[in-house]
Amino acid sequence: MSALAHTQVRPNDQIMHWSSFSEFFSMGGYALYVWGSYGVTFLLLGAEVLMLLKRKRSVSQRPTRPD
Amino acid sequence: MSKTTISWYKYAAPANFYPLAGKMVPWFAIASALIFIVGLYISFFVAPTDFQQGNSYRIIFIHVPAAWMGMFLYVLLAIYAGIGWAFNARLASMMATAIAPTGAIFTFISLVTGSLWGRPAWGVWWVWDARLTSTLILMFLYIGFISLQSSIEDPRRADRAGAVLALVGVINVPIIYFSVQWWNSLHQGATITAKSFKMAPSMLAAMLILLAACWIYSIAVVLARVRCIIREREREAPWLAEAV
Repeated sequence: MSALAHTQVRPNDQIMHWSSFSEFFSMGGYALYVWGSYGVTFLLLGAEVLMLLKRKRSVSQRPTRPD
Repeated sequence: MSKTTISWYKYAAPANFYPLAGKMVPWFAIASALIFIVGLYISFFVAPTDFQQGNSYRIIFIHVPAAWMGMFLYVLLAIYAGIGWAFNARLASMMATAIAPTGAIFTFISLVTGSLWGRPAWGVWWVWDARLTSTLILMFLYIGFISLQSSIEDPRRADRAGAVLALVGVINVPIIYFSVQWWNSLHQGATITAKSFKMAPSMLAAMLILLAACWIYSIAVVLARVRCIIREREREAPWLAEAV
């Protein structure tokens, strides 16, 4: 039985749960894991977009066959 | 041709598809950026803290969409590769080639974020269980497809070789999906099934909105990449000189 199966909310949980910036950044002690995950994700997606833009530039500099 | 019917076969020709895809890319790019912002906002400011896992569970919002995208895109790649092979449709083969890097990236993201979640949740970065191992195999299938195609000079031969690999490898996707039912696993079962979802509505919303963002992002980058591939492969074609 895994610990992840029962994602639940306590009834008295409030919608806005961060009382300060530092509390937000610390992610309840899981900063490395949470920000690491989102960091890796958007770093890779950003890198993909940059590489595509580079490829597009180099492709559009090639001559096409004039007809 | 009447005004109301669209001839879809027309867009199977690279000459017609190229400008259409070019018009679609910026719209999908903008839409995906906006949906990412909304999804991230709900992920961090609306979805409550989990009472068992604290805030480490917030990795789910990106981990699950990335894992799904890795699987969806592989199936889509195999379908396009199969169509390109069976019907000798070169645009379909080019779509398969264009999907591969994006699918590989999402699969890699699912492995890394899974590892970053496994450490606080299970105490380990990695275990050789069925779900994780079959996802790693998916990653290798993408890498194999990309390197196989780039090692073959003639594009149509590369398309055919890639199609064989893609179609054989597609058996791995149901293995990933059902692995948590078929074998004992440290990995949790499905959070969302057709009958129920085991999470708060705002958590579900964050996950589904980020899934939509990932889908629309994928459409944008795949269309942009297939345009590059068309230009690289059809550079001798007379239409290209007119289109650009």
